[in-house]
Amino acid sequence: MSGRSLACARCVGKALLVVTAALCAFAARAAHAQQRVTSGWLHAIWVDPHTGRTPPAPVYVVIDDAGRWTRLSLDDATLRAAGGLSALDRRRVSVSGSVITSAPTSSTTPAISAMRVSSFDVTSSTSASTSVVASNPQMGSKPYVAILCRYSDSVAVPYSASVYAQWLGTSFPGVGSYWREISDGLMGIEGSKVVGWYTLPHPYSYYFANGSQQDPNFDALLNDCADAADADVDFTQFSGVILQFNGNASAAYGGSATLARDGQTKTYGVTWMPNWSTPATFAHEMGHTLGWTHSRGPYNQIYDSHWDVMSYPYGSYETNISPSTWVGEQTIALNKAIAGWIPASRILIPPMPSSQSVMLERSEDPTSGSGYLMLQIPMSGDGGPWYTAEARRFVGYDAHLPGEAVVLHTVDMTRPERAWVVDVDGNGDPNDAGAMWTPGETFNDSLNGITMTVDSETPTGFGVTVIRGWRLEMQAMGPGAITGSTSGSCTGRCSTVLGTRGQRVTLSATPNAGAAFTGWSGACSGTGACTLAMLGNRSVTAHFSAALTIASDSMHGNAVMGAPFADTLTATGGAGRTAWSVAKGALPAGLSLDSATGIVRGIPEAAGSYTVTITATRDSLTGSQTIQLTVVKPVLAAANVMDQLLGAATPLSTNDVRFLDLLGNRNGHLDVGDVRAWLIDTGTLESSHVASDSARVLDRAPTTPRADRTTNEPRHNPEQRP
Amino acid sequence: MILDTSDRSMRMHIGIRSVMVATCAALLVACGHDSPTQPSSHDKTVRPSVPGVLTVQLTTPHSDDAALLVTVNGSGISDVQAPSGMLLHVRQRGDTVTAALFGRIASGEVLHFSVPDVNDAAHYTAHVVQVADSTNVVRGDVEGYVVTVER
Repeated sequence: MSGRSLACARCVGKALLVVTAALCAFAARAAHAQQRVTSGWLHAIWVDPHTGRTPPAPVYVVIDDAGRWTRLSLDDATLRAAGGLSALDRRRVSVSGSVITSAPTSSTTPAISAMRVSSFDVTSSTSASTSVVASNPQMGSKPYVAILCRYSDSVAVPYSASVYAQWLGTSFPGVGSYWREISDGLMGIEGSKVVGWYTLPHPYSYYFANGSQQDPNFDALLNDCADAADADVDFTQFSGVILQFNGNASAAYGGSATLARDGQTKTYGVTWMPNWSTPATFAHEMGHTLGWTHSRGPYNQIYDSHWDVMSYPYGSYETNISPSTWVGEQTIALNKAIAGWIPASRILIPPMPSSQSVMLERSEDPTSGSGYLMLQIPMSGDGGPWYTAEARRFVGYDAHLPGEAVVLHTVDMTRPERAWVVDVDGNGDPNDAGAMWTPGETFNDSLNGITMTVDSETPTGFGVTVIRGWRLEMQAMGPGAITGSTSGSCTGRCSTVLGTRGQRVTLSATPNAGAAFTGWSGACSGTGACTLAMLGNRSVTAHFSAALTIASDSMHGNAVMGAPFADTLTATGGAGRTAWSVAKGALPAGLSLDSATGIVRGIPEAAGSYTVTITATRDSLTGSQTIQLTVVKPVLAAANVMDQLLGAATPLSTNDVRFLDLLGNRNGHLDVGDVRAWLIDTGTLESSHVASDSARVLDRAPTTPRADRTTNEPRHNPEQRP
Repeated sequence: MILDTSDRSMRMHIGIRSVMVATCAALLVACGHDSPTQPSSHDKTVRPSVPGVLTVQLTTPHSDDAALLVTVNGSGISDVQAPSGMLLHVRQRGDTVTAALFGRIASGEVLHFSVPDVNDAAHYTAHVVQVADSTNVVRGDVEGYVVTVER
């Protein structure tokens, strides 16, 4: 390479380095220029379209201390990562992100400052409480000022100021009475004021870019309308501002804004109402001014739940409810709890594990009783998410509900719509039977161990049983008990609630004496011990068969010594062959029990009273009965006995002769030894006489001879008397 | 044999009765001449009947006999009795008397009975039918037992 060539190459290299360095510096400057940190008060403004069911996401703005508005662009993930809207709305924040300031679309449209949020830093204090109760209290008098403003290029107005004043009045139905009623008297808007119509300084197109009816300039509308009314309104006397305009818009809007008026900078609830607004729209948007989010069914639609004015504000004109000042249904219990309208004492948060039966009173116009107004049932930890349950009845502003029932919502405070109706039929309609829990119906979330059963209906609510944990229901049918590692002994029906999902429980069935365990049904099967993994509520039944019942055809009669005896035992219960046995005691000598037939038969060989327990076994059933069997001796006349012995006649029956032989020497026939035994037994011959005591003389006189009555000969030797 | 006072009294009673019977017999003989039916002195000599009591004597090989069944055969048996202290049941059929005797049975007199003529004692027989011991067991055989009828 020549020296010139080398110098040239060095020049090119230097040039490339310079260019590269310049590009890097530009890029760094550019990147730095797009990043911004904005501090101020964050506000959400909900967008509620006139038609359609899927609204845009709320508009989030940060209003700094100079009153400048910056729109925030953020996705759900970023919002939830920051704790959700509940953690941000109306709080002082520091927002980092990239500036996406849009240029004005026309010479008559102001630019809107906006930024894409990358992170939040909440600088105002937030509550660490996991309870929703009064987390955003709305108590006492909260008057609104309704400012009626018309665009500079439009004269026509939808209603006169007096109509709006009527809406906000306290007569039923109306927005004023609505808030007082659904808050159970705890909040009202008495003192509200309607002013206007004022004329705005700009035409409609100034506030809506290109006259699109969408995406209004909230900042300009609020400040221009407030400016117009400033002379007539002392803003410090009001909690909220209702901006009512005379032009059309694709949506009504409600939320809040920081406004500096009359020497005070504070957060006001603010609505931006189009010319088609109604009392129901007022109620809905005013709900947003209280910080309430939408609720919904589980179908990704916002305005489908007729259980909440914060979901469905269209009742007054879609269902032709009369009068036109009808507001709509009340709001869900969650919002009322957040507002502090349901005291903590009337919210049941069941612990884990637990089972409680309680009264759930209607949440609208509740009675003063002690029933709960809301169940808050944690799905996992107490911090949420939860299920809420509330009783809804046809009363007050709930008169036109889809039905009277217990209504459940899943609540996640980090979701854009915190409360979703639980609708188990999945048919897209959260207002039908699938979302209404009525007596006899049970909601069950086995994964989270939550069960709620509607037990009964009362004039003002419902009786419900709520269980947290995994319930093991046991039923011992018949004479026996279920014993288990966690449940003790259970007879009849019983249940226990376990606090750990998947916990293993071993159950055994123990029949009562004489009864038999015939098997499990439900979550257990077979006839052995049963081990369950409590992955959900479980129900088991142990079936026991009653003991056999033993009957006798003559067991309670007397048997006679020496006389044949038979008694047939019968057993009822069970099926199959029966095996008989003597379980305790002994049958009289000479009697035996046929183990196959149950017949007790034989010739009793000894008199006496016998206590015998007979047992019958059939399949696995056993029955026992204790019986008393008495064997008596026949009463014989002495003359007959002697006639029989001495061969003069045979007046004794075979049984009598057998008795005498059994009593005597049991050699199979009657003899003098048998008669001697009988004489002793009857006391005729003193037993002492058998002793070899020769000195003893019986006092008894000898028996004289007796004529043989069987002879045909003349009685030549009649019986002599002593 | 050991006799008690009752036995001696009975024996005295039997002696007196025998004297009375003999006296009556003498009176009948003395009055016989007045009877048209009285045989003449030249007829052959007829031994006069002597009513009286016969006894049944037992010889037993055992000492624990407690019941005895005997038969006595002979004509005109009456008034069968047992020694005091015995329980006696009797049935009579024709010339046969069957007696069951209960008590302490020992060798010696077990029965006595009246007969029309004690001179015919030889015509009376007795047999042991059954003997039971004090446990009511009947002896397997009675060959060792001897009963005799004596005046």
